[in-house]
Amino acid sequence: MSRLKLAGQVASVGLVAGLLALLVWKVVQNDRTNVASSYSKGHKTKPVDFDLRRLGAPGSLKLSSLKGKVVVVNFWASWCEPCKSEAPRFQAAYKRYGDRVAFVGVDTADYSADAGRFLDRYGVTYPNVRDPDRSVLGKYGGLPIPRTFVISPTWQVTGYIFGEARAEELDSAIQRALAA
Amino acid sequence: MRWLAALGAVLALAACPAALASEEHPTSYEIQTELWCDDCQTTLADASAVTFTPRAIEFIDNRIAAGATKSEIKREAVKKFYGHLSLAPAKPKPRASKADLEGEIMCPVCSTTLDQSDSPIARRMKADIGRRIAAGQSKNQIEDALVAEFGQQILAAPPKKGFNLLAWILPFVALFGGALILGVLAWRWSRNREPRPPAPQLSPALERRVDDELARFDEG
Repeated sequence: MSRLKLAGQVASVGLVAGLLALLVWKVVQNDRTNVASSYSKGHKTKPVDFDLRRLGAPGSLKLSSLKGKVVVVNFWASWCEPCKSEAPRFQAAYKRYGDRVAFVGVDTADYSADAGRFLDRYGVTYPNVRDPDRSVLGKYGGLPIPRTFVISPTWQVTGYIFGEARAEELDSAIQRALAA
Repeated sequence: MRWLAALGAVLALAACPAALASEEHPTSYEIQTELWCDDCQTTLADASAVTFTPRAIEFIDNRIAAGATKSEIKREAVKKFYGHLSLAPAKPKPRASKADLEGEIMCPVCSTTLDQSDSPIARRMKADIGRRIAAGQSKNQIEDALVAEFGQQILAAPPKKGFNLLAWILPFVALFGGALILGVLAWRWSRNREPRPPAPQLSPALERRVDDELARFDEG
């Protein structure tokens, strides 16, 4: 009886310790895979790859297919007020930098019809993809949006803008990535 | 568990004869409710007396009298009055309720259900649900449309199928398992309790002395 009791106690302690270890691992893992948090802490940060369906165009777009270029990834939604203000700035930068910089808009937690109207309204012509369940946004820091990441040709995150991107902020982040 | 299975079997047995009786000995009205009058766009039971309906009802009554089953009568009536009668459509599913849906759909940006959120996307979704209900869509259709837009996570409760079924079953398994373990422990504990040691026997001299002391105590 006492042996059984001891085994039960050891198993209980083991279970609690296991659950605790799992919690710690999850927290550390989350922190590591969250691009925004890792970059903000000054760590050398690689972008998390994604392969999402195109918005308003057939097929999908894989982020890693743009390796070797400067890439600007902007998370937005049609219901997000600051996204409306910054959208024309991204389109202007896209026109200005041409082939030297790739722009990718990631529409998140949004109706596809609303997102399509948003692109039409602000005359956005660079590729956009859909992240309907926020799974990709989560890996880049989650809500709130907008969030913008600039990736260098060496595939490191070299710029991060949290909130509405001002033209000069965006420009300086792109210049830094081009120089990297 | 055994009593649950027994209850199910009793209910099934109780329901069976009723269904059989309805099939083998139908009433005229019952059949009329299951036949559709194409000319009047109602069931035959609700149809006003247009040219063929009295004849159709008479036909049904005659076939019942002849001992035909419900399925036979319906089939024969549709054949005889082809172009005027058809099988009535199944009863329409109850309409989706806005309050139900708003309580079962998550706001994609605020981790609460729609009814507890006033964010722009939640307001947009509420309007969409209202529009879909007005268009006559069922609850399942609306949920499917929202899942197609926002993914499975939009449902407050996981669907009762596939891997998600575990989320529904496991709490009951855990509850049952916990109750079982508690029961076994309580049973073992009650069995293993050591009996109380018998009270020590007093010597006759000591017993006499205790009696004397108690008697003196009572007198005092």
